Amino acid sequence: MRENDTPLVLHPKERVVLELLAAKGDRMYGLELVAQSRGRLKRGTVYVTLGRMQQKGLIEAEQEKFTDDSGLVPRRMYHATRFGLRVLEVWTAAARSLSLEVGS
Amino acid sequence: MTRHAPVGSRLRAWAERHCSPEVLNTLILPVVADLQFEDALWRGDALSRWVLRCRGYLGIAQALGLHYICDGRASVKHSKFALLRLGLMIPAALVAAFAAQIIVGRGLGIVLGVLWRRNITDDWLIWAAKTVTSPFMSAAFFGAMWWVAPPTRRSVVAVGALVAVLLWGGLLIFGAVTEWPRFHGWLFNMGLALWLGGGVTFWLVRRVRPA
Repeated sequence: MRENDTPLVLHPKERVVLELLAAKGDRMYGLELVAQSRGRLKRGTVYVTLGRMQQKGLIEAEQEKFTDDSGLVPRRMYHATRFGLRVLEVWTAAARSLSLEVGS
Repeated sequence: MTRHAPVGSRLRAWAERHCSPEVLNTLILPVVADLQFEDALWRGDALSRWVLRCRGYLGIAQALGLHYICDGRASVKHSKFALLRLGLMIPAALVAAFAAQIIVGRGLGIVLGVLWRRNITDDWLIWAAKTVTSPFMSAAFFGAMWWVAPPTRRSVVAVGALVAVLLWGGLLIFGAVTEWPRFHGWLFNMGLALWLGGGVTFWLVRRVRPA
C-alpha cells in the first residue's frame, strides 16, 4: 500500500524490470535482469532503478541464503509485489488502449 | 594456505566507512554481491576477468554518481541559496584555477627571472613553469569547488572534483603519448602534477570535519 497520494509514475525502465520479473515468475538478481533485458537495462542504472522501485513498493528484495562461510556478500534477489504486478497490468492496458485510440 | 579476499571487499570496506547505510544497502552491497557471483562463475582468461571486474566497478561508479545526482537534487531543491552555490561551483573553480595559474606563473617568473637574471622565454623554462603551476591550478580548482558547494554536499562534490581532476590530468597524459614513439615529457609531467595537486587537496578536505 502506498503511503502518500501522489500519482504513481511507471518509468520505462521500471516497466522493463516488472515485465522481466513477471515473465520469469521467480526471483532475479540485478545483473540477471540486465542480461535478460537485451540492452534495455544498464549495469550502472539498474540498481538505482531497483532501489526506487522498492521505495515505491513495486518490488521486494530478499537476501540469498548461504550455507558456507565463503565471505561473499549475499545477492539481493528481487521479485515483483502484487501491487507491482497490478500496476504493470493497468499500465499495459492503458498504453494499449491509448495506442488503439491513436491508431483509429 | 593464503585465502584471497573476494573481489569488491575493499570497496565494501570503504563504503562501510564513507557511505550512508541506505546507499550501502540499496546500491553498494547488491552490486558487490552480483560482481562476486559473476566473478566466481567466470571461466575465461585473466584478461577477460579483468575486463569483467572493470565493468563491475564502472557500474558501481555510475550507480553512485546517478544516486548522488538524484539525491543531491532532491535535498537542495528547497533552498535557493544551496542551488545558487551549486550553480556557482564550476565557474568559481574555473576562475580559481585561472587565478592560480596567473599568480603562481607570475610569481615563478619573477623568481626565476631574478635567479637567471633574464626573462623567461626559453621553451624549457616555460614548460617548467607550467608544470610547477599545474598542481596549484588543480588544487585551486578542487578547493574552490569544495568551498563553494553547499556543506551538506561537500563529500560528494569532493569525489566529483577528484574525478574532474583525474580526467583533466589524464587528458594531458594521453596527449603526451598520442604521437608515440614521440613522447611529450612535459605534457606527461603536467598531467602528473595536476593529479598530485588534486590528490593532495582531496586528502586534505577529507580531514576537514564540520564544526
